[in-house]
Order: sequence, then structure tokens, then C-alpha cells
Amino acid sequence: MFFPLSISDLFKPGFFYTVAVVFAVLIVLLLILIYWNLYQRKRAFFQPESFRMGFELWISKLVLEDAHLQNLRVPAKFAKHLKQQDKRQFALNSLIELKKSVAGAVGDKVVELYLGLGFKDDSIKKLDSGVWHQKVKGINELSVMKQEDMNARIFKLTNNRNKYIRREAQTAMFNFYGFGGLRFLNVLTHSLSDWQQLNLIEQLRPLDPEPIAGLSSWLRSDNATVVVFALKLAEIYQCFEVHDDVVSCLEHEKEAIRGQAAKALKEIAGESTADILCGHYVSESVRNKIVILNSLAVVAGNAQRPFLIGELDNANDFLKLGAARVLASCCTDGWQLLEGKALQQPLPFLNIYHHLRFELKR
Amino acid sequence: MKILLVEDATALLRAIELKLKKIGYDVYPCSDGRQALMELQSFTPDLVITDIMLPFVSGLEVLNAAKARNRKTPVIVFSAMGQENAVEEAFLLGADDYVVKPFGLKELEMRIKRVMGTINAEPGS
Repeated sequence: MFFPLSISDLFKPGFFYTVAVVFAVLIVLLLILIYWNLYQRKRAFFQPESFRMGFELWISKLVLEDAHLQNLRVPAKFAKHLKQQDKRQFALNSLIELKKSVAGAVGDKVVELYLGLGFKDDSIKKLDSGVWHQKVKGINELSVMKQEDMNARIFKLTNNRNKYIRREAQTAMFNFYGFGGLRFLNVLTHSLSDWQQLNLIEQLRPLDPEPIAGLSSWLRSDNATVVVFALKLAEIYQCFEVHDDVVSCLEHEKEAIRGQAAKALKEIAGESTADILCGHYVSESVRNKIVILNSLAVVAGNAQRPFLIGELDNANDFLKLGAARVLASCCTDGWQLLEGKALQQPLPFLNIYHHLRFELKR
Repeated sequence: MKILLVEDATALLRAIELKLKKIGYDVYPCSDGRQALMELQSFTPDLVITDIMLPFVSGLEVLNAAKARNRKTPVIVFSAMGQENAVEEAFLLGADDYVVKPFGLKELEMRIKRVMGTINAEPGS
């Protein structure tokens, strides 16, 4: 192969001009490539953005219309975008967000739109998915849009082995039926975590209180976490009708259930509650004794005076303090008793006396 | 009447904006707190309606800025369920009313009329 350039040729001006031209062309091509790439990325960013703005404006106008959305006609510019999965999901997310914020006639219009655009099929597809987070999303969409005809399928998932699916399904039951949604406790075999219990109580808070059907059977459930939750409900909603069932829980084998039962009795006390609590006190752990004393601080009376005086001699200072608190709160001569004790045994009763004076503002 | 409306959920912002415009109000929509603060620097609204939870700058700061501009400007805040502490703080900062999501647009309209009616009824206003 004959290579035409010699060493002397490389230093000729003509060669340098050729090289310069070649580099210039390469730089121009590179710049064109960079601008083309930027243009494509800008298009990829703004096109969904323009769809988003247009779609949200369109649904905002539709939900304000007075008439029903019969024979909904989707504008052609949206129809083609709604065939793409990502834009379809975006549109569905917009409707879900809007439904969470509005109620009344506008909320109903949003549901009409959701059905009219065929999004319910998308939600059902997610519900049927084998992937847990898709299932959760499907449950959430159906529950936010109040699709109660799906309640049977969602109810089955309230005892699913996946905790996220369980939680979302349980939340969906509340969305559909309020207090009635608690019926999943009848079938729950998995544990109801403390966090989920807090969440459920929080969800119940805005609802108007109503009689809780099934509470009595939940208090006898084989699932200990269901029993604890039921005791919390009895406490918060002052369910006097289950007083005897709660008293039965004081004899449960699990310490946490016995403690929760003692706590609940404070809110649903009857005439005999103080005596019942004193009767169970002796056999309890220190933790539960403190809970019982806290409950007695609300329900005790002069009848418990001998028991409480006896407890002032307990070796545990926390139990001494608890008993002293009950005496001061519930017994007519409680303060005099404590003053006398403080004089006889300054340590620890003087400290306990001053502490209670401050705590109870006396 | 000029209403400064601040809400980060765009579909809700548009729906409220359209509803209020239909009634006859002049609405200045903002999708975040920063934009709202900039608008407050350029004009004094007759009413501010703001969500509490906003990106960049919270609704409480918007409320503060609106009251700093004109103490008598009424402010209505949106809150989600469970945000009682934020609503309490909003009232301490001078909010005049609040609406809990989800709410009906009719309810919002009534609250606007109530708040504006209260202001108009004040002696010397």
C-alpha cells in the first residue's frame, strides 16, 4: 500500500488546512449531535408536562359541570396519550389525588370520570397482579373511588400473608363501611401490629361513633393482637356493654392482655370494678400492678382504703407512689393519711407527698 | 375581589380556580409557597386561601407573609385530616377559618362568604 505523505508533507500549510477543516466538520457534527440530544430530552420532558397540564385542566372543568357525565367524549389529543401506560397511570393518579381532596357533588363527578375513562379495569388488573405493590395500588385506587362492589375480593385480602396488602385491604374496609369495616377482625389470623392498631384507631377517629358490632367476640378471639385491639376500642369508645368480657380478660394468660384490660376498665367502670381490680392485683406482675393502680386512681373509693394503706408498705417505691396517688385522689382522708405517713417515714413518703402535691396541684 | 389561591395539587388548584372564577372572583393561582410569596410582593389580595402543606415554603409562612402585608387580609387554610396541630398554629398566626380535606366546593364558597361577611361587618372597615 502506497502512503502518499512524507515527513516533509506533514509540515506543509495545505496539510494543516485539511486537518483544520476535518476538525471543524467534526466539531460541527458534535454540536449538532449535542443539540439534537438536548432537543429530544426537552421534548421528552415537556410533552408529558403539556399532557399533564392539559389533562388536569380538562378534568377540572368536567367535575364542575352540573349535568351527569353521560356519553363522555375524550378529546382526541388525550385519547391517543391515554393508550400509553405511563400517561394512563398519570391520569389515574391525578383523579385519585383529586378524589382525596374533594367531597360532595364534585367528588361524585370524579368517580364518574374514573368509571367513564375505564380506569376501574386498570385498578382491577392491579388487584389481580401477582406483584404485591401492584395489588396494594389496585386496592387503594378501588377504595378511594368507593368501588364497594369489589368489597368481597378486597375483604379476602384483609388476612393476606403480606402485611402491606393486609394493611391496605383493612384500610379499604374502613373507607367502604366505617366501623362496619372492622368485621375483618372476625377472620384475622395474622398479628395486628401496634403500628397498624394505631393507624386503625386514627382512621376511626373522624367517624361518628356507633355501636361496634362483634366487639364481644373479638375480646374472646384466639388472636391475642385482636383481643388487645378490641380492648383499646372498648376503652376509647367506652363500651360499657362489654364490661364483663373485659373483666374476663383480666384472667388471660398473656400479661399484655391483662394489662390492657385493667386499663380499659378505667373507662367502663361499674360499681364493682374497683374491687375486681384489687382482687386481681396480688397475682399480677409489677408492670400490671402499676396499670391497675393507675386505673384505681379513677375508680377507687373509700372501700379500697385498707388495701391501699397496705400497699404503702410495698417494697417497690413505684407501687408505693401509685397507692399514695389513689389514696390522695379517691379517699376522703387520703391527704391526711399521707401527711401522717410522711411524718412517720420521711423517706420516701415526704418525697412522695410533695411529688403528689405538685402533680395533683393541691 | 382578588383571591390568592395556593395549592400544590394541580387538578384541585384548577378546579377551585374555575369554580371561584365562575362565581365572579378574580383568582391568582399559585402551585407552591415560593410563588405565593412572590405574588404577595406584587399585590395585596382581598383574601388568601392556602394549603398548609406546600413544597418549598409552607402555607403557614404564606399566611405570615399575608398578615405582615396587611393584618386585616382574611386567610382560609386547607388542612388534611390529622393536622390539628398545624391548624392550631395557623389560628395562632391569625388564620380566619379552615377547611378539612376532603371538602365540597360549596362548603368552601360558604366559608369565603362567611369570612368576607365578617370582615365587612367590622366597624370602620
